Amino acid sequence: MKNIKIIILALVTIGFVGCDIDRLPFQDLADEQVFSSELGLEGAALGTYAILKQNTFMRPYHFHGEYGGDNIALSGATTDHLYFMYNFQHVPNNYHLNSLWTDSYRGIINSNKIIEFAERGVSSRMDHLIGEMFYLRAFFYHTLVNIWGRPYTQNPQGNLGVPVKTDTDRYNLPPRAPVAASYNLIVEDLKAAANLMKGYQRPASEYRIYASREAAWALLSRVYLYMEENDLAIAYADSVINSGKFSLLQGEAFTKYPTFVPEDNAETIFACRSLKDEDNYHWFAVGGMYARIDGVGWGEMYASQPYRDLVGRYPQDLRNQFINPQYAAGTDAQGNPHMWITYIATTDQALQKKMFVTYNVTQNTEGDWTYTKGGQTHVVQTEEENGETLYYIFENNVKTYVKLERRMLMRNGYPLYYVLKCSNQEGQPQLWSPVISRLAELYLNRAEAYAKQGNEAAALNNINVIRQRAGIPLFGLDIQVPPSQTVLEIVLEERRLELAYEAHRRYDVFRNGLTLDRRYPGTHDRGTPLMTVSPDHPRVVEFIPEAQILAQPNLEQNP
Amino acid sequence: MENTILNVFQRKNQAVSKVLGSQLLAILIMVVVLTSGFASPAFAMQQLTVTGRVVDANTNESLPGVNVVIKGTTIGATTDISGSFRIEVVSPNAILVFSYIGYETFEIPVDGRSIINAALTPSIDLLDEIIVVAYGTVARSNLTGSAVAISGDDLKDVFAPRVSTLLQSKVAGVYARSGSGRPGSTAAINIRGKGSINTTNAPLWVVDGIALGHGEPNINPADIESITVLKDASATALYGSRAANGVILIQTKTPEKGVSKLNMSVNRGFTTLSQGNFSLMDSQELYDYHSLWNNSNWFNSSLLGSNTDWIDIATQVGVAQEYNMSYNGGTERVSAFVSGSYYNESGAIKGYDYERYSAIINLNINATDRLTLRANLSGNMTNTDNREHSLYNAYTYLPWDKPYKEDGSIILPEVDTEYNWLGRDQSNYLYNLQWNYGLGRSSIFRLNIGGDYKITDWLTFSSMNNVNLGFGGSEWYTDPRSTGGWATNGGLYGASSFSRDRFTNQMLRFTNNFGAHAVNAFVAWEFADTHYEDISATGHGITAGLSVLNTTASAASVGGYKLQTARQKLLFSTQYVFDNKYMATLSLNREGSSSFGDENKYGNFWSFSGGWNLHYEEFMSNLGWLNVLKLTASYGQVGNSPSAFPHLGYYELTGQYAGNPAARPYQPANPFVRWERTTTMNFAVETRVFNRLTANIDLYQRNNAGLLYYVPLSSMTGYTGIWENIGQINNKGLEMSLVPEIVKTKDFQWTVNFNIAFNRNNVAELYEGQPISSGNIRIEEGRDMDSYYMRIWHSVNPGNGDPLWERLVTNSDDVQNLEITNTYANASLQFAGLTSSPDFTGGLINNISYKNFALNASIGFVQGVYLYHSDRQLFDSDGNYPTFNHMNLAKDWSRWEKPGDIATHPKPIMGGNRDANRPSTRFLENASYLRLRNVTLSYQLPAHLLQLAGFRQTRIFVSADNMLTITQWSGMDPETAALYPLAKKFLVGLNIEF
Repeated sequence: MKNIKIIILALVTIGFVGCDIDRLPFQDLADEQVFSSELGLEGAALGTYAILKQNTFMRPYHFHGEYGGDNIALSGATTDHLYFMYNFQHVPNNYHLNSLWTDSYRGIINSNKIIEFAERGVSSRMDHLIGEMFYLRAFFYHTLVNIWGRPYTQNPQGNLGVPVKTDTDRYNLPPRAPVAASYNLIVEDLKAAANLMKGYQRPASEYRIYASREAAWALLSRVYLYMEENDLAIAYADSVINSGKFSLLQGEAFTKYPTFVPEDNAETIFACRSLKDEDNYHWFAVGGMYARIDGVGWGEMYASQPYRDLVGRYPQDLRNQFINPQYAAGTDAQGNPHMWITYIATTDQALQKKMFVTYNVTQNTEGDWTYTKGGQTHVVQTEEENGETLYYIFENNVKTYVKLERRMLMRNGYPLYYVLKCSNQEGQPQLWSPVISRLAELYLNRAEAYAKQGNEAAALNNINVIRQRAGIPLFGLDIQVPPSQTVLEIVLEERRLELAYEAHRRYDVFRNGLTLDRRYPGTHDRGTPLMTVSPDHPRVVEFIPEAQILAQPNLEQNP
Repeated sequence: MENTILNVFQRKNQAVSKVLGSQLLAILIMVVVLTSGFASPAFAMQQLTVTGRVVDANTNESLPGVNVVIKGTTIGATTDISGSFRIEVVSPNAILVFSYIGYETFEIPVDGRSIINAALTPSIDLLDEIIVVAYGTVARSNLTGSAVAISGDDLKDVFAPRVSTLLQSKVAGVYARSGSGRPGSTAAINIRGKGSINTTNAPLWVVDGIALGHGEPNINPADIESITVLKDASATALYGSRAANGVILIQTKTPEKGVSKLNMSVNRGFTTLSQGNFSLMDSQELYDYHSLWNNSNWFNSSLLGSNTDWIDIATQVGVAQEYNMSYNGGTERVSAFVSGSYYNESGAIKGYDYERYSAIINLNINATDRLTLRANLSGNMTNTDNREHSLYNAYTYLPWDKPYKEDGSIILPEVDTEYNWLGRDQSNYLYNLQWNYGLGRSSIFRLNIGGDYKITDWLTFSSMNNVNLGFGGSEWYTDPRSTGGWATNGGLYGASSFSRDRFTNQMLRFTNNFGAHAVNAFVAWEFADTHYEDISATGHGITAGLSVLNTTASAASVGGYKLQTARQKLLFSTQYVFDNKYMATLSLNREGSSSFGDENKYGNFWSFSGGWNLHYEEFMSNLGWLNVLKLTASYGQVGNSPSAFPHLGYYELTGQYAGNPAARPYQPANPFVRWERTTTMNFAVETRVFNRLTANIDLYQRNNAGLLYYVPLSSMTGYTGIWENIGQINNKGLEMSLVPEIVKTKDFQWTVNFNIAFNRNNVAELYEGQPISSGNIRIEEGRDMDSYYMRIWHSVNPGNGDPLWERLVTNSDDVQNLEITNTYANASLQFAGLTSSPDFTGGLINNISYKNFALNASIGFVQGVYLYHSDRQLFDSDGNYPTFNHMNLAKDWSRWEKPGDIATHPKPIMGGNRDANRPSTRFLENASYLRLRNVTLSYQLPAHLLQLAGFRQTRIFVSADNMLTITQWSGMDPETAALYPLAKKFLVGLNIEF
């Protein structure tokens, strides 16, 4: 019976003493650990940037600002919910907008935490860090209020914007506030940010990829422009331009803007840094929709015909180089590239739907261009006007002017005009560090504000800075403002040209009370389309994501 | 897995080492000899041949398959179909032992005779099999909980390597649904409905007494002796914190003493894709359809020049094969079950191969009369080779696009632009398949060592100790020539994982009988922990054909993950039986888990149950037709726990910004989080009448309270959610099984096994009564937790072909009116009145045998399941996706073409008709089905032929899986509801026992 006692004793002892069953996660830190040191705080602050960088934020941020404009044309249908942002067939369960909302508020709350817990006045670097959080919070709110709230220029006290939350209390879930409430906070935050960041500047290797005092000024200039506080828009643009920390890229360097890392780009004020390989979203990068490069990307969203017409007005305009037409391979018998003639046909008079019509052409022995239609060969007619050769054909007995161009590749009947403004950083096809602010915008902000104040000379001077860099004629020197256009229209046209594919266009149209004109070829004309969108149209704003209303029933839906 | 009955070996003072040495060596030699081409039963000297016939003592019918063994040796024989046997006896004084399941063992001395006939007496109760339950075994008549046992033989009909697939339709209340027809796929199992929202609804898997977790272990079905499904708390309480969804116990084959059997089987077959009711348009059909609406400049009759059948390109006749070899036998002292198996299946979709090697050694050593040692070593190695054709592309590519050039080479739309590829993605997946591949491998080794030490006649100390080692790996190769490799000059992704689970259980077991009283009790302590880690890396720039990361030119990314968990528990269980009539069981389990904070680290789980065998009562004895009537009732509480750390509030450090580690808020803390508690009540009636019909009925209620729920927080909290114990979900149901033995004659037998289960799910309570939405499902109090909540499709406007949905409008008097809208965004989200939980599920298994032939047919059915057919958004899109192929209209569907048409499908419009293909009840389809899962026809070779060949048993069979499915589902397969349907399989097999 000795055995039994030993065994029972052993069993009982083990049973009572037991083993340690505490285990902890390996890749996480408790809140207290994070906020206990400056290093931890810095890690948490970087977390806000990491949220900003996330594809679930950056893609919809870009899609909304750009695809809701008129610089782009989609060449097919897509299962991606960007489709509904592009064609204005808004749905309340759009996953992009839900993730944009979620990420924005995650970024805001993370900023709130640091603003709340980090002690000010400890060191200038820590103050700078807190200032960065004010900046990012303002940026997130600016994004939110412009997607879900109507433009500030339309009754900002009455129209609902987004909930404004500046605390970290989990149980405080405010309802939507008027548009003006967000704008007030954005302005306050940016001023606080500029103030906190004044005593310190990040080293050159970090300066342009983190918020800075100048970045706060640049955003303030934009925000005041949106508010039509033109004096202040000009004043903050002055502050940035006069800081001397930025200069416009010139010549070939400008045409390669997206290929540089932001910290080496003298024009960049603040860009969200994407790291080679680590932050390469390949096909799912923003650039993946614009171009297929080395087999990476869908290349389905092309430069729109009106944008190409605008930028193509001056072939020497450097900005043409951000458009990359995909020409058909091979040559004709003479070794020349294949050509076609093309014109834009109206396929639906009532809705003004447009489509490309193309005919492949070959040159006969007389030097005439011929094409085949209905089994018959036709000759492309020509006439001279101002020393220029114009081409025309007869379509259904109607004299129709056509363009003689290099033959291109097509997708669903849309020629492939790739856009290269969001690709090719460090030679990686779809790597891109989205630019939040760059110097050119400040000149354009200033120009628009001056134009609205009626200071036409100052307005033109400012856009001339941009035009000079682009290599095109300057107003007042080389050319004059045509009588058919106002200076403000000229300024907005220049803004459109310069800031295309940087998620500005949609806001620039609607905040200025303009009607978005989509009467050009693109699959936005399918189904029951909105070929034009007036600034008072309900779809100027998006629906509040359904999932958010379900989680927070006090959110009121947009009509 | 503890044996309650210990076989005590009488000889004492024998050195253990000597035993181990000699016997193990013998077994090893045996294995080597047998597996290297076993010729004839060795080890017998030819002295005396004994023949004879074995019959049932009551009916005088012959008994095939009876084991006849010379006592104290491994020499044995099995009776053939006529009950005859033949055995070589070394000594004329030998004793023959006859044993057969369900009969009393019978011994008879040879005494120099050459003909010995035997009559075996049936055991007291034929039904009184010993079944494996939690931490032990129990005689079926004494069972008080709800447990269903299936023998390994009944498991194997459908040809598949995974147990979950084989369990389908066999046990009432076990709903197993396959997610895909890809080789090696598993089925998701729900026992008695779903009770959890954010934690698992899968059962706990326990193999040879070791709880492995909720993922299905990869076990060779041929090595399984029995499976027991534990359904109520009485059966599962000892598994405590993870037992809320039931437990599946797998017992691998135990070594048999005094026999020596070698079994070989070969199965080969082929598989084809089963397309169900679904068909895609061919070139002409698509052209005719597009003619209604496509006004594009590229749409013209020249498209008809190509009619590519992409499904045909992607599919093949797959091959499935399996080879098994096993040995079972040994002496009174050392016995072993040794088995090895190879399984290989190539998919009905081209380019996917699954193979598995598995082996197991179960060893029993009776070291002394008090000490029994057990070792159980098993492992398997699974490899997958994935160059699979894309089913998604096969469904969506246009028949108007050609895959190949005139010279047979593959068209690459990006480069070969002259072919004017039209399909949406402008890519041809066949191109990259020329080189790119993915490999997967996983190896699992299970090492169990344990034993029993009999301290006294009534007290036994048992120890069970286990280490599970898992090694996984995968490799994805991107060739520099493939489009994915252009930008990076090719690349390679490699990952490897390691897991180590430890388990130990020390137990004192008390077993004693006092007259009519029998007590069986134990107390035990148990500890288990897990460790998992993995690393992965991607390299860019690789020379075509090389496959190691070392050869990549630059490192692109690295990843890694680690997780540890631990649990320990103190167990007590006791069963009391009086006079075989009255039974009571009590189980207590105090368990702690690393998944919870200090506030609620330990939980208590318990159950009690009772049973009454009425048929043993005096007052029932005059009912001669009543063989069994047993009532049981049970009540208890078990738990469900999450896998991670719901109690901790933390920042996640997996992100970076500009190359510096970035901390993002992950979840807020909730130190009070505790187990989900599932309280189960079960009443059961078990009957057998006229010795012909067995019928069991179970009634249960399962209340899952304090649900571990990841409460979605408004984004304004900065988090996506927080873990809380909120709400309650109840399941109640009825399970029934009927087993009539319809024909029971000497030559002809027909048995039917019918089972059916009804379950009703009800969300009893939610946090602040707030409904929870997730996709198309909304969980709301008073409803089934799988209720669809979406826009309700109304009809197609006969006037203009517009889609119409329902819209609820609340007027000024607060009255809700139902309106119709043609604007998707205006349509109201509503409960559709349909759920994805079945009304009932079940199976019907027929076993018919005539002489040497046997025909088995198993049917599974599921009724009342609605599933959202999301793929129709793509290929039934009313023109929304003109450059995807479309499906042909199913039976009873129609398309609007002109005013006045009453149609199911709206007018097709280039670009889609007013979001008609966005999620709504339009694509919610009835996925109920009745499926002929398997038909097997087998033939047992007659005895005289077997004797000539020197075999004990030989069975050949042909079988077919998934031959017929009756359903309304418009896709390929209502069960998977996914792109990859279950395959039809045709098989021939041969099984030989020496």
